[in-house]
Amino acid sequence: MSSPFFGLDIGVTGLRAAQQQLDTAAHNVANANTPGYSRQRVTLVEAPPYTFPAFNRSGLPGQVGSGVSVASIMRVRDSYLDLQVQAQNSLKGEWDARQQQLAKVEAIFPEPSTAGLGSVISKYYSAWQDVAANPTSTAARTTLTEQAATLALAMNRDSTQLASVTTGINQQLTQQVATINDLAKQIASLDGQIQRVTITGDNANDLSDQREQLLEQVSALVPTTVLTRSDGTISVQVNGVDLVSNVYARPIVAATDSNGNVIPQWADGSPVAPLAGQMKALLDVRDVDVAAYRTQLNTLAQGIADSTNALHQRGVDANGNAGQAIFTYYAGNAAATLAVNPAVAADQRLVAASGSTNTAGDGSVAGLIADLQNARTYSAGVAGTDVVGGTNLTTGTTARLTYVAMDTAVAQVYTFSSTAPGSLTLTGADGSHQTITVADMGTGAAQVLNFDQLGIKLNVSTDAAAKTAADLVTDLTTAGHNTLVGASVFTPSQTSTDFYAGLVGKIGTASSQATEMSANQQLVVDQLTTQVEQTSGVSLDEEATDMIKFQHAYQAAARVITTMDEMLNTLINSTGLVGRS
Amino acid sequence: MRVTQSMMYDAANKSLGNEMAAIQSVTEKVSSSKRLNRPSDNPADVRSAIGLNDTLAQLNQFSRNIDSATRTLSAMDTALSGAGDLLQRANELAIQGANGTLSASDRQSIGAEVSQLTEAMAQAAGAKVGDDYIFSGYKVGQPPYQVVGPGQVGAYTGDHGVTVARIGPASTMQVSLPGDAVFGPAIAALTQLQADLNSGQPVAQTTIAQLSTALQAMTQAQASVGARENRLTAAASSQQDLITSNQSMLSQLEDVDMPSAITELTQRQTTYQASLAITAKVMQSNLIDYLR
Repeated sequence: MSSPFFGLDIGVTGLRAAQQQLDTAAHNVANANTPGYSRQRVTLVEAPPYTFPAFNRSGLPGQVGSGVSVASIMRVRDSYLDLQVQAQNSLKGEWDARQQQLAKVEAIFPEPSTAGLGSVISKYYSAWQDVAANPTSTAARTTLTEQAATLALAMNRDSTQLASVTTGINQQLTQQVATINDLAKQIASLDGQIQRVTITGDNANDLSDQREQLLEQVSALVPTTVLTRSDGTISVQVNGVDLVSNVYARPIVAATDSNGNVIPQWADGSPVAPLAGQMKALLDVRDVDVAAYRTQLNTLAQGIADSTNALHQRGVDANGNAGQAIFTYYAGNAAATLAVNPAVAADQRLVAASGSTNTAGDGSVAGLIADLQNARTYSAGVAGTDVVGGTNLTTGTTARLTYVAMDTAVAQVYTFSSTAPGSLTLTGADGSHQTITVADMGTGAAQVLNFDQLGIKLNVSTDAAAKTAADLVTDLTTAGHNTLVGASVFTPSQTSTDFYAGLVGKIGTASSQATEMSANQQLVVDQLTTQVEQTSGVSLDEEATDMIKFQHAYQAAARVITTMDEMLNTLINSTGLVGRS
Repeated sequence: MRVTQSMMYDAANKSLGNEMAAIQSVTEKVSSSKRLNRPSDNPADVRSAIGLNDTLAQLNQFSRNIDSATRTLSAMDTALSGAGDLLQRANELAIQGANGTLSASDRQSIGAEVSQLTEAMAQAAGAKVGDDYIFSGYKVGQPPYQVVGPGQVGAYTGDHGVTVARIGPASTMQVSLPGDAVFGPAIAALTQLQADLNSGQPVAQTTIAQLSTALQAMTQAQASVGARENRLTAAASSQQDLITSNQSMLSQLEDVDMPSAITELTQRQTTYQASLAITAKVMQSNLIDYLR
């Protein structure tokens, strides 16, 4: 027979359990909008029944229940989902950061427009055409030097802005390193507390939620591998190296290399080299994308400057002197340092439009430079004798090449030879050759020698005296003269506009890919977050239902105690008063 | 599926945000009237657009070159036609001077007029566009012929520089016309005529033949200049066609299709308003509202 007070004790366990459940419901409702919070549930188990089977057990029948006990308070959480969220969050962080940086790069090249570098290049070559058409015009020459200066400034501006993207990335990397270290410290500190809670046998629900929040923040910056130990602590690894382990955070250092670029390193000097996350995006955009764009912009600046200078330096200026370089730049950093030669900028007479002295109306060199606009390669000159403009090919002859267009020609040395009078063969260093028949020429007449297959056209004119085809062939094949040297404006051979359009196309493609991938990755992360919320989120409707349930349980348990109280009242105050009151 | 309140709030926020972003994107297109506002809008089309912009700039430059060449050629035309008239007059005078009935002094007075014609011929050869002599080859700073004495013209002082105008993609045209080829025979014939007349003898038939050859050369040159002017006119009109067709290609690439963009904008706005209305309704209630 059990004690008459046994029922009171059972009632109390019910009260306690219901109260604990209501408290937990209150905690859930209070945290309904707390980021990272997982709803908590009270796990109830039946209290150990009375009595245990034993030799000296009482003779009572069966086992008597002794009420309820609160076994634990658990959070409802799917840790496999957490790992997925962290992994996808790293990818999202990477594409987001990439998209943000590339949008900045893209803003430097606002194409298509009539204000971008593309249109500045077009205007620059147009200015040369005006000089070619009116070589004596001061206005055309002045406009040219101004357009050249505009081109140089546009190159400087774009290059500086690309450099400022790099600077911005370095600042952000420094901040990210500080953020990761801060988060790692917080995780380590939480780990210490979780360890103490876990070894006492409790569940560190709220602390674990906070830790997962921090892990999610870290995973956006660098991808992490998280291993959970039996004492509740975790080790967080970045690319195989411990960031947090044994409740200790291992800091990352923002080192600086010789170019002033920030390199995230571990304390021992090895690079962090994350495989995803915002940090990888920043490193990639800086070291791969922007670095390539800067190189290409330099190539563009250098290609335009070199081809212009090479042709211009073989021209003759209005003072009868050989042309100087139009552009100056420092090798390796051409776009940022491109400038118009100060002497030419100050005096338009130094624009060398002519092919020879005392020929003010000769705009042939200006024309050749203007033709660079559509040229894939250009004639960089002739070994031995100048091929452009008025210089005679051989002493005493008056035949000359006035115009050399190299369209698809491969950049190499070409030599003239003749096997029969009136036939001319142009052979490239690679063995490619073509023979053409040359006709007799009258005085002042111009003839185009068209080596179509080699992609080379030569305009040949004679001065004063009529020349036979045989004369012309002799002129052009005289040993030691007339070797065409081709040079590519850009490698692979393409025009400056193609090259620039290619650069802008690359930037556009990278940026649009990053925008799409960032949106896709957002969808993936949203999907996973929804799954986490489905499992762990607080539903107010659910909690309201539960509260009613628990309230009723509490009321019923209280009623049990009241009933017991009445029973005891009967026993204590009314027993033994048979018939009396 | 278990749905919580915050899932609904998040979903509402995201879908409203997406609608707003879509509206912003269409609004940008409508207000700029361009569908390409940055390289990433369509990298391939932006590349083509840069190429087309460059082509257009070049075509406009070709038009400028054509205008400049046309000015030079029409000045040549005028000068050649004036020179032709001079030769015609000289021819008449030569035929008159060949008449045996004239006295020596009559011939000498005709010779005085021919001397004037010779100087006028040198002046015609000295035609200019701006400050440039157009019949001097590259030596535009000096006249091709100079009068060195009464009726006396010096040798050709120009050269045979060939000026080329870039009048189209990979298309060039020679503009220059060296003065000695055109004016050289004329001045030589006029000088000979002066000598014949001043000698007091009837003008030799060879001189008249020489004059006629010079006139022929002049006429041929004028025809050649005329042909080149025609070629320029044709080039200018085909250039204009190219500009128009390139502009329309560029417009197809760059410009937004207004009716469809505005329709899209209206659709987006309707969707947005529907989203707002639904969100407002759903977020208003939960179970607690109904528990008393």
